[in-house]
Amino acid sequence: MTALRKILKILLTVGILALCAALCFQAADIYRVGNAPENFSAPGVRIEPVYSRQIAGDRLTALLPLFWTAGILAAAGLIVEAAGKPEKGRALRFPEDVLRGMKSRISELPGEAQREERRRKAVYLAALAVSAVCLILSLWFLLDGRNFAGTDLEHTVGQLLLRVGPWVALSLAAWSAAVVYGGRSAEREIALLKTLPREKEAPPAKEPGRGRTYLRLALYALGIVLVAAGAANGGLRDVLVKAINICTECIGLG
Amino acid sequence: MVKMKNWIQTHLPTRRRLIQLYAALLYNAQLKGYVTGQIYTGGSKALCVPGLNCYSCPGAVGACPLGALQNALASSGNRAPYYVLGILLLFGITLGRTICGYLCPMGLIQELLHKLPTPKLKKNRVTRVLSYLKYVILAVFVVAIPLWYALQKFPVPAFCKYICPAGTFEGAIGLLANPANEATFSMLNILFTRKFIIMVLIFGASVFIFRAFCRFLCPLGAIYGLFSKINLVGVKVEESKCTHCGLCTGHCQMDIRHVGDHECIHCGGCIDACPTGAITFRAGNITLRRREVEEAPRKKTLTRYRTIAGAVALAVLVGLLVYFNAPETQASPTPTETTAQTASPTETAGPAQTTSEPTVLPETLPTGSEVGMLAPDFTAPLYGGGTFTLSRDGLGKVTVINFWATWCTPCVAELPHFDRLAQAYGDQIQVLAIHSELITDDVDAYLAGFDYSIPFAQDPGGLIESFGGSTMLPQTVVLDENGVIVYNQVGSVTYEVLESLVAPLLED
Ligand code: SF4
Ligand code: SF4
Ligand code: SF4
Repeated sequence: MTALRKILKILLTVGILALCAALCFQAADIYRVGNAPENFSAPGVRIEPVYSRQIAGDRLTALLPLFWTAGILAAAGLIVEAAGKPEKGRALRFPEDVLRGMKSRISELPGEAQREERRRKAVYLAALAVSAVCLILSLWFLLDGRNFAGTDLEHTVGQLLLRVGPWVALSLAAWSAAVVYGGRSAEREIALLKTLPREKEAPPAKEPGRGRTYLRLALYALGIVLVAAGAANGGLRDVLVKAINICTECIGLG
Repeated sequence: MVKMKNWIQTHLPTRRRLIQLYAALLYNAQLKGYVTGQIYTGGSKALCVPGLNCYSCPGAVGACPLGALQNALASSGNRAPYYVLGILLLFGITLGRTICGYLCPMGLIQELLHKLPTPKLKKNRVTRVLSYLKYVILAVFVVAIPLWYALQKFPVPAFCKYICPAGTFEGAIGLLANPANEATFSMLNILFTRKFIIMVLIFGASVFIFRAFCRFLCPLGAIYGLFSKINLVGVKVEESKCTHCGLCTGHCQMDIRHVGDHECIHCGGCIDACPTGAITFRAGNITLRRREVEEAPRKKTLTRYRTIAGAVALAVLVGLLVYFNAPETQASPTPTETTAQTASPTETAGPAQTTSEPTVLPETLPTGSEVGMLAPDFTAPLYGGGTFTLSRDGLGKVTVINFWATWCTPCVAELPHFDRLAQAYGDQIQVLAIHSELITDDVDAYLAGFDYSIPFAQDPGGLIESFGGSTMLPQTVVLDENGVIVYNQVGSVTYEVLESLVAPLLED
């Protein structure tokens, strides 16, 4: 049973990946054919539209064997799963989280653990610095109105991805590296803390104050005032107008 | 027998799943929309639903909060987006990301896809970092771009336009799957291709990664996450009982650091994982759910409450399904009936911008909205004064009519093409831009910001329907000098297309 489960899982994975790849390829290919020079009678004037029900239907029909295979594999996999014992996922406990729990029961950290913590903080600070630089470089582009002038959105969004995307990616990469280091460091610190004698009592938990309730009430009041103001200033009607017309952006037309 | 009972119990849909299904059905209660291929146009669409559910879905009976937010920000040059911000605030304080766990159809779709038996990519440190990407998307695509373009009077709901898989799946595919919308296919191009590929990648990823879209990309989840410290309904940890064993975070499939934080969708999955029973699902001070073992003493009472709640919910659903799917009592107007004859919005009417001797419409052809038919005559009030009457001002010339609205991005983007066309062909043609009868901005003030030379009229009511249009803009109609329709298409046009339509008519 377990072997069958495994085989079905692998086959289904291949099936789904193949189906996704084929769907993406077909869409991209429809676009390529529709925008090929042969499909233009004059600059900007297409002979045939890029998409039609016929074209989409034909392309999907070509994928029917893949749909069927993936569907049958999915059905078989689900039946086998349902018939077998439910698989228990292993709990994933990040050392950082475990460490946080341990520290809540320790009043004084030993020197080596403190040094480990400082090193970890330094790495996080470095990641923060990288992110800050990335943010400044992104804002450089985002706050320059010239980059958003005109109505050629394709160009603008393309530029946005080219000029801001890499900084976002770099920032995420810096943080990923920092948290991977942080995880290792936390493991080392846990090993150090485990050698300590156990402190019996956790510090008493803080009683939740009334502050949160008051904040909630204030925000409720603000929310109601905003909705009323929106209904009065025509915002409600704006939502209605947009919602009762097909949103060309949502469906990929506009 | 016991085995069988156990099996059924473990494989029955959970209460959470039933609520998810219920919410999805409630948001999309106009089931007949899937048959007719038409979206719902009733008043309930002024209300935002809490989850991500595209308002262009044929079944949708409410508005998508994220789409509404982008559009409100995009028109914030005219009015402050109080309504949508207020609604989001109320949803956020009351439910926060409990909406993600229980009330969002996109969350449901991803969870169902994740049920497919394949190897799964577990959460890890990198996915924790990636979970912040949705805040970048929120800042750039939902807030910054719409606000920037609002300054240029150009509405751009960038998240809808470039990313949203809910729009592609529910809106585009929901509409395109219906043969009634066959003509819509011809308008698709790069935007749809890109959005379709993004949707396939997101759904594909959701099979292997739990809630891939929610965790890394969804700006609505990011907004609700901001309320994690104060939301009224959701999971809560009783600090005095918590031993910080980390079993809850280890059990959770989201990128949480602790239960109830901005990544927690309050699904309640960790309640039974907690060995000390520190986690409960609460609405303020009322405990709605605690560990299974602790529920035993009050099981009977709970079952009674749940049965009553279920019956009420079912009654509401049935009532709404009947309401939204009842057959229309009013017959939709026929094209010739809706020929509009309304007074000008500015009664100090001057003469129409273009006039010619009234021409008699050829009567041999049927009147209607299709190519080859005679265009229905109409009179529409002009912005700036006067009226435009087709039989008076248009006939004898090739006439290009553009239906548009200030709140429609592609319409606003293509207006310059019509103006350029009018300038290039001068007196040989008549170009008219007709604003939708649905007005959200001061159109006069909008037009004052541009120096368009073409006349702008306002749909006096039902005019677009008489040209076969309804709920989608822009629409372009080209008539020959006899008033016969030679082109009538919904969707954007380029200058080249307009020229290719007009030039042969002038040569004839
Ligand atoms: S495209 Fe997405 S964000 Fe936009 S309205 Fe539709 S569901 Fe909402
Ligand atoms: S994160 Fe977004 S898509 Fe996911 S459940 Fe929440 S609102 Fe819905
Ligand atoms: S912390 Fe608990 S309630 Fe929150 S998402 Fe994870 S399992 Fe669900």
